[in-house]
Amino acid sequence: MKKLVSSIPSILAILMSLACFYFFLFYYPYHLFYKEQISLFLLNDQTFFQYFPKAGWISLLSGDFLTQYFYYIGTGPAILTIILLLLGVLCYKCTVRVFQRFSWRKIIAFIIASLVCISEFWLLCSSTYPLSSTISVLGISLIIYIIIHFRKLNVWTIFSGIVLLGIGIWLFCPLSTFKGEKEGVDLRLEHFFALDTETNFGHWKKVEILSEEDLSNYVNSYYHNLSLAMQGKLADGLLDYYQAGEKSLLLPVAQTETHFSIFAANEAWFQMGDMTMAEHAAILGMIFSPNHSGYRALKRLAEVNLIQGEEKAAAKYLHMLSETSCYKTWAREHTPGHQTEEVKQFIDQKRSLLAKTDTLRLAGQNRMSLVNLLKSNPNNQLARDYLLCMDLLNKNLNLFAADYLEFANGIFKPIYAQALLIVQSVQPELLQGCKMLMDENILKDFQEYMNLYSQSQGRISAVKSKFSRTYWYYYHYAKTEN
Amino acid sequence: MTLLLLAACTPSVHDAQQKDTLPQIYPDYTDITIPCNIAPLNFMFTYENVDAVSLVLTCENDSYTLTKRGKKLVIPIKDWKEWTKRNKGKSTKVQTFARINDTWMKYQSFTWDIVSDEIDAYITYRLIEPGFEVWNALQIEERCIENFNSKILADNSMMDKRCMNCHIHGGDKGQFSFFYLRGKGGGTILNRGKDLRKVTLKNDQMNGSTVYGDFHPSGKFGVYSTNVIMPAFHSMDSKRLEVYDSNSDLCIADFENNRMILSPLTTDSTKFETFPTFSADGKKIYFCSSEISTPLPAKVENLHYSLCSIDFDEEKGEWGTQVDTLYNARIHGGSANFPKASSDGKYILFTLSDYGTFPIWHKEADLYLLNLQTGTMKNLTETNSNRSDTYHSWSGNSRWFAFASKREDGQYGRVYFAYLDKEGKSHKAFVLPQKDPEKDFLNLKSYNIPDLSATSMPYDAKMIEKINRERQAEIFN
Repeated sequence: MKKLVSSIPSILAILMSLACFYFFLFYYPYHLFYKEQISLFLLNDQTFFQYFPKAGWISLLSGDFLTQYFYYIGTGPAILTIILLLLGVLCYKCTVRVFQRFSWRKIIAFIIASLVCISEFWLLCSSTYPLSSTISVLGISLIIYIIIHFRKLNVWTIFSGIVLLGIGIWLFCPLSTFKGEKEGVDLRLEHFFALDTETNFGHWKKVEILSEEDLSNYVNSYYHNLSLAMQGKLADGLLDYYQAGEKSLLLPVAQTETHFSIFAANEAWFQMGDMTMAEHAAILGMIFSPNHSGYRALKRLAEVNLIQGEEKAAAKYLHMLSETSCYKTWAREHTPGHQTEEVKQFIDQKRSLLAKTDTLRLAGQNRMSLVNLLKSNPNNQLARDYLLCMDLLNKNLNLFAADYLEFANGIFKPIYAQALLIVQSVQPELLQGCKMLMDENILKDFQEYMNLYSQSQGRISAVKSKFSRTYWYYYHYAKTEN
Repeated sequence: MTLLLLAACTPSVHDAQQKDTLPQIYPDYTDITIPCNIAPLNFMFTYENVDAVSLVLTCENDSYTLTKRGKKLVIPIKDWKEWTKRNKGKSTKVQTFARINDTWMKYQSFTWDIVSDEIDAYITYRLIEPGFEVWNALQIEERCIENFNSKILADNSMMDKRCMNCHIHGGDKGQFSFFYLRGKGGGTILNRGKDLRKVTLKNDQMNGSTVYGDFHPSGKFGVYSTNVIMPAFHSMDSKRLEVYDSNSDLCIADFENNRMILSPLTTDSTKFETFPTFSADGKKIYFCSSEISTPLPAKVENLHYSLCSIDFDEEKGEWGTQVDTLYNARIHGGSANFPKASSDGKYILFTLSDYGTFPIWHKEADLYLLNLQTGTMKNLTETNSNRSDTYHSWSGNSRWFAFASKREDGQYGRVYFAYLDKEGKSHKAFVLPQKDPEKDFLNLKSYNIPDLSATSMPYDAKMIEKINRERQAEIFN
């Protein structure tokens, strides 16, 4: 019985470790992947010498070294669990030693060790809290553990203790320790990191499902729209979901935005073929990210430059990635001369979308880019969907009519038909030459909507139940932020 | 015993296969002219599977051999200094070897012409990501060209992430300097050899903040352009960014009397005036000017800047009364930017691009030399590349100049140096040497606006932070 009681702390520690591993693996995996994506650890001597002169270089070096393995599913949770377990054991042993004269020392030690581990666990759940900070705590705990195990207190041991503490600070206490964000567990952020990660892997159906949760947030809408567009159904699903105007389609790249959303903005441009804007968003997202670098940004910048034929610029990024553990194969497969057939096809397909004439646009002139892409390549369905949906979300029906005539004449989508009916009823001359395909049900619905709208004198409740997912409803009642 | 072990560890060249090509090395240091006071030209081989390298320098009866494991040739600074001292004014033959897959390769040799004309020992530049005029982490760094020492002159992480730009030297030894701290509470940090000052170079008649500028040789005056800058994006051909002015004029700052001096000739609302610089004797101001006659940004390709000059009277502190045109863009085409006068009074070095006022993303932007004595102008083809070559700065002896070039990868600007001999012929440029030759290959920052100086600046980032925090900017009228 006594043996069982004495092993309770160990059992609890094992259970807590399993819970920690399970949590990071199944409930919080995207935070770990995000931390890996915004970091960059190159395996060369220059990297070592960059860390070496800094205070706390062991913590920084080992933290960044281990973070790169968050790339693999399960590795991040395992690393965090082991480090927290080691921290718990050290804290426990230190406290037992300090309270060795107390009969309750093991319980006190267990409580203190648990509190330290739970605090570090909480901090590690923050988006930018670095692993090196936890390793710092672990390192200092180790130094304390050694010091308190000195048998006698004399001049020699005091001197040794001070020296050890100094060495500990030099090895484990970076000036930047604990500087990352400390928001703790944030499931909303986890949601956005999930969207971003699945987008990165091109899992569009998964992105669509994840972003169906109504957060009334334009970044969420951006991912939702992008996932729909990539599956060729942007116009079909546009009004099934919260929209905040143009920025739900193309995220602004501005000082008011976070580095996360600035970087995210690159994806839509990249998919549509505007490499200038994709590079602009990617490089700015990287500049404003916590480490001003990151594997993800380098990969995207390499891709952009390969597509543009800027092989020397791409070589720089590929060279950097070739000196990493997890991306060296990717870098080799993308290096000119070593490219796989799949990579070559990908580059060729993206090149076919590039603009063929030069234009000069200001930062907010998204329309100019889309029109230019379409004029260069009228089959760019993604750019066409974005342009027409942008006109619709901006409630600019004059532009919509003109763009429909020029780029989509004859293409049937319910939302386009609904918008064209409004144009026809207000300014029919704009639709001269328009091959307007119409569904009888849409005509009937339009009639019914207009009757209800005029009878109720524009009262929202009169039309909401049946027509809330029509363009007529959006046109009359939606508030856009643009 | 230790010596024996060391000897066993050092590879030695044997049975080398002769290759009839120059080696693929980074940076490209093949067949270049270098000053005798330059830091070691460390480089690395870019072939795959290189595990040992060797270098043999020979000059007349002198020779030096270095063999290393790995792909990098890092020459000990002491050996290098002795070599350049012994062999200055002569041509060094550089023979390189690389061991690839256990076979030594011997490449075609190349030369380093070590000239006795020294280059100014210091260079400052801004380290910034090529992020389309947007910044986050910025530093202004001073690097000693004779070795690898550097110091940070200003760091925006110590000053609320504010923008800092254009660190420019003046005076015969570069003893004057200024740069800007932008944003609320900022100003121009002015160094004239005494106390550092923080000043606001603006009065009510000026329509913008000062941007590009230069010191009068006396250090009493500075000449500046005021530019309202607009960025716009190209959609193809990797041109990326075009920056144009929606407004730009010139002004002179009188640092002794805290006043700004304007002239109707250089604040003409029908023209853009920019990139002013003083002549070597301080009696003229060179600048670039364009008619405002084209809708922007739509027709930016019609924006062509001419190279002009106007007199300056130092005694009276007055602008001249007539503008002369040295390079007429309407007649000759192109667009002149960034003129810099050599201190011997012979030359103006400027950038010529197809159009516009922001050549750093223009692949065709090249350095041109205008001989002020003969009026002839030439493209420095030996020095230029097929990428942007611009933002140049003269060494005090007018034999060397530094400039920023994107020739390596088209995206990241690096500092290059080129020699101009007595006949006015420029030589192949070479990049600023680094202790670790791979450094720039792994660096995500551009070296922006490199500026040479014979002397080190008497301040560092901590002093600048203190001045920024404690001092109010002096007002100019």
